[in-house]
Amino acid sequence: MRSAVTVIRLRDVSVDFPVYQGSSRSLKKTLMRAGAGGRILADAGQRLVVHALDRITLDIEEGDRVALIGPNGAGKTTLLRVLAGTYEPSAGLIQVDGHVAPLFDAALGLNPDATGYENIILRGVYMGMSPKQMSGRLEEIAAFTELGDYLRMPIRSYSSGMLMRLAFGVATCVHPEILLMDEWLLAGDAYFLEKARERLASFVTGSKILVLASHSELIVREWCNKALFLDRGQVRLFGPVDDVLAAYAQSLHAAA
Amino acid sequence: MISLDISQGAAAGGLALVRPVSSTVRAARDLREGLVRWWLWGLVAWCDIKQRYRGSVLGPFWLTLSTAIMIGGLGALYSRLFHTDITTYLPYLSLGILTWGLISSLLTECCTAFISADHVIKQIRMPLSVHLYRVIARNVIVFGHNMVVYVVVAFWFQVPFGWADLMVLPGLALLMLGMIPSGLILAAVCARFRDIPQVVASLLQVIFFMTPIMWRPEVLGPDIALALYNPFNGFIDVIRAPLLGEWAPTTSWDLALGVTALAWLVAFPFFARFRARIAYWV
Repeated sequence: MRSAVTVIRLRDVSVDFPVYQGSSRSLKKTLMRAGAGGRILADAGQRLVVHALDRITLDIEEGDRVALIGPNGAGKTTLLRVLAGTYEPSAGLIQVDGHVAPLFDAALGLNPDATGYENIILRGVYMGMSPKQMSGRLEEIAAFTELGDYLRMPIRSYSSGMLMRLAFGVATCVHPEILLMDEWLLAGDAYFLEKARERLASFVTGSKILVLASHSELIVREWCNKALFLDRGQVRLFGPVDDVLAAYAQSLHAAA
Repeated sequence: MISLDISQGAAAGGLALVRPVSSTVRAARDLREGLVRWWLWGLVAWCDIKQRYRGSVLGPFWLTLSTAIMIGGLGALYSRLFHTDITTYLPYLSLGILTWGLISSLLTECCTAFISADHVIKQIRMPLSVHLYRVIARNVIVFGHNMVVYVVVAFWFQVPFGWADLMVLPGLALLMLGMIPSGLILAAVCARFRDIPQVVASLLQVIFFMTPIMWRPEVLGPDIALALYNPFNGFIDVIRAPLLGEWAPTTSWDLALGVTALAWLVAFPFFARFRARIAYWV
């Protein structure tokens, strides 16, 4: 059951991220370590645990366009994945009401040897549509991407900008209530960005939620009305874009 | 639409406490909802197959050709080695190899079911079982192609067809039912420990020779139990025997059913326990 309101709520959400590296990836070595009085070796840091998100509490309401900002490793991507529902938090409660469309990776679910048309269907199906629904929207998406006859060619031959048009076209055609984006959107050419902007703008005026991870102040100011400053897995500040950007800039200066 | 672990109260009150759904329920839901999305794994499996065809002159049937060569070659050689009549040996051998091919490629590819879908697993929420069903569907399609070889063999050596042949369907169904839990364990364990796929591959090579595929269980004489209680023989037999116009011995059915039940008993609690961690492993 879900309410009619699109909303995201997080309560004390933590994500602990075990980093398996080198020999802890190997069953043989893990067993041998267990056999050989494991404590010493285990203490030698075979298994690192990163607290990627640390007790995040957050409310994102309908109409919010939230920018995630923060230094590398602050937990932006992890938070996006938690919101997308792919990472289940190790602690805390999360509520996401609304159809979520994650738009992290242009190439996701695309088959390089299949044609553009085939890939539109394939990707749509990955995003939760049925092939029949996708066939119905094929023309609309094709028109939006403006790829014309390229759609009949294997997408192996596409440039990254063309791939992005295709991915963006499909992602927004599913009319999600919540759109999660990583900043790869920037890869588009100026003309397409303008078009994408229109589409996003109409999308946001429909009182939906956008969460966008970005490093670019320009992008943040243009697309977002709120910002969330993440630092080492914790929320430093959440509020209007100007305030948060100012705080972020200040912390950068303080660090320097 | 996503709604995680949250009761409705949370939406109204904002801070209402929430009763998380137990991990067992979520594991069962994952398996069931994955199955319901047949159009998803069906389409992706079909795309996998199409990708294998692309650029091939023979089209779909180049997958079949190598199987045909293997069966023809082994059949000609081993019928002489074992001094058996090729007219009964070749149908037996071809069904054994085809079914073994299905089982072994399923087990091998289940190992990478989650690893190879890592991008999707990290980005889009969908039942994890979808990735497993995709592997199974893909291999069943390949098996369908390869069965052409048996059809040719059966006509050539005039293996009689009859209603008993239909018993192959429950046999196949049982194999799938056993493969879901086995594949689930393999896929999850391989996501965590990356050296398992090689172990599985080398074990399968040994098992191929130890299972009555190229030879008949009877040649073991007093040690026939070695063949009869080999679980792989159980699964192969319930598919092979009906097509050869025989009834699979009850030991084969019991064995296959028992292994399937055991696999579920192990795999389900395992999946319930570790399902949420798999996204972090891949």
